Amino acid sequence: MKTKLRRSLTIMVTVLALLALLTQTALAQVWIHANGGQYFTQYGNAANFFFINNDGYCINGRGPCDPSLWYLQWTYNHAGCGVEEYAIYTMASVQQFNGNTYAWLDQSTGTMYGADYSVTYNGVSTYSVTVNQNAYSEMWATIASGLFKTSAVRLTDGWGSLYWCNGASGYQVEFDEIKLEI
Amino acid sequence: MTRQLAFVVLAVTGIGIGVVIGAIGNLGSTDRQSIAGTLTAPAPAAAAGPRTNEEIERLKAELDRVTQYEVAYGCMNRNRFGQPELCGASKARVDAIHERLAQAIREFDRRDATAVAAVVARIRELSEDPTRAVAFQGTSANPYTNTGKRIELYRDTAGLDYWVDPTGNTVVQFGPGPNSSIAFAQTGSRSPAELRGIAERYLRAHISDFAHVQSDFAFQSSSKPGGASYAFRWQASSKPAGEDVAPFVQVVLSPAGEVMSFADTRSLYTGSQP
Repeated sequence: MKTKLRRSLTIMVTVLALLALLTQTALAQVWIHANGGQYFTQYGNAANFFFINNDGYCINGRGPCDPSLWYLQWTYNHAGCGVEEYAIYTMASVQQFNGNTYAWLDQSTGTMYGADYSVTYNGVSTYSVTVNQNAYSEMWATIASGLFKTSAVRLTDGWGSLYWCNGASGYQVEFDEIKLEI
Repeated sequence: MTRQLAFVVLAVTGIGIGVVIGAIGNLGSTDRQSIAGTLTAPAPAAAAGPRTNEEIERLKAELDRVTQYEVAYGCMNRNRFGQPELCGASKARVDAIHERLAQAIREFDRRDATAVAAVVARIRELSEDPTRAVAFQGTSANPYTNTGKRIELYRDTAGLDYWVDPTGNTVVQFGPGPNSSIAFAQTGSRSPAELRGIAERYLRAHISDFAHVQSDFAFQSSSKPGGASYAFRWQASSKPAGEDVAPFVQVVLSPAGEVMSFADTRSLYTGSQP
């Protein structure tokens, strides 16, 4: 009897704990995903990334990030088809709502006018999008809007689909904070 | 009786543990900015969250159900990064439901014709194009302030995105939106002083109190590496309490003097949702 009671209570505590977690998550509307943070994974040759300290959205006196994340990073674009470096921002919480994603872009870099972003939504759908980083300076730019259950944003050093296989080089692709707004 | 009492005590303890774990879950993420409001706000004034209705929830459920079916039995392949995604007829079927969902949300969130007309008029004035066609895209919490004031998103046929504060039908920002193919000049012979003159003329023509902005806000100019674009910014010297970004007015110009983006975020810090 005691064993049965203990088992029931263990299950109940687990369920309640999960419910509490879900409730907290369900209240979230604004999430920031920092370059270099726990929801950010970069691929390619790490030596090809350049870093600017205390620049980007998260800097001393601005943003919720730990001081270890007070920097932005960028890489030169890949000319022609394909990509070399890229990064994935995994959304901290996948919400049962249609949301918008925004990228913070700075004056110190982000000259790429055909940045190659893609957004994973609804689990198995992809929205490929080309963004003009060069038009934005110390401000947020829209990456995607109205996507259900956004789960990841990918940014590469290649040309976005509008300019795919463009042979131009020398543009700087900025990797900084990504915001999900519900 | 003792057993029942023990059960109640343990149940209460369980709830407490659950809440603590939830709180730890909140604190565990250094990347997350904030949690606020409720996701099923009954009215815009009550919270900054998205609104919903029966039709929207029905479409979400349909989207979930059909997606699960197509993942199990439909066409799946891998994208260029090796991740699974829908393809063929499965993709088309799921995309169609997603579009119906997006459309239902747009219809639910779109304000009355008078308000939309006021927004369109302001956009045409800012774009200096009296016939520019724009369409309402939806709403979201605005990225600049932590107070959760919502913005509306409009998009024109040229590919510019406009963020609108519905409180006063104010355009708080515009610039090339996702997949915009506007080809701004990448080179130009204008000096930074000439470009500043262009920026000031534009703002004087389109912001009625720009003289106050010039006198009250601190001016900064900057250019991207290689002079790829130029920013002219007037920013408040301090941030409102609880905010991360100070209000600012800004124009970004191409080297040839074209307006690439515009921002006037001041209204986001004042007033309440209509």
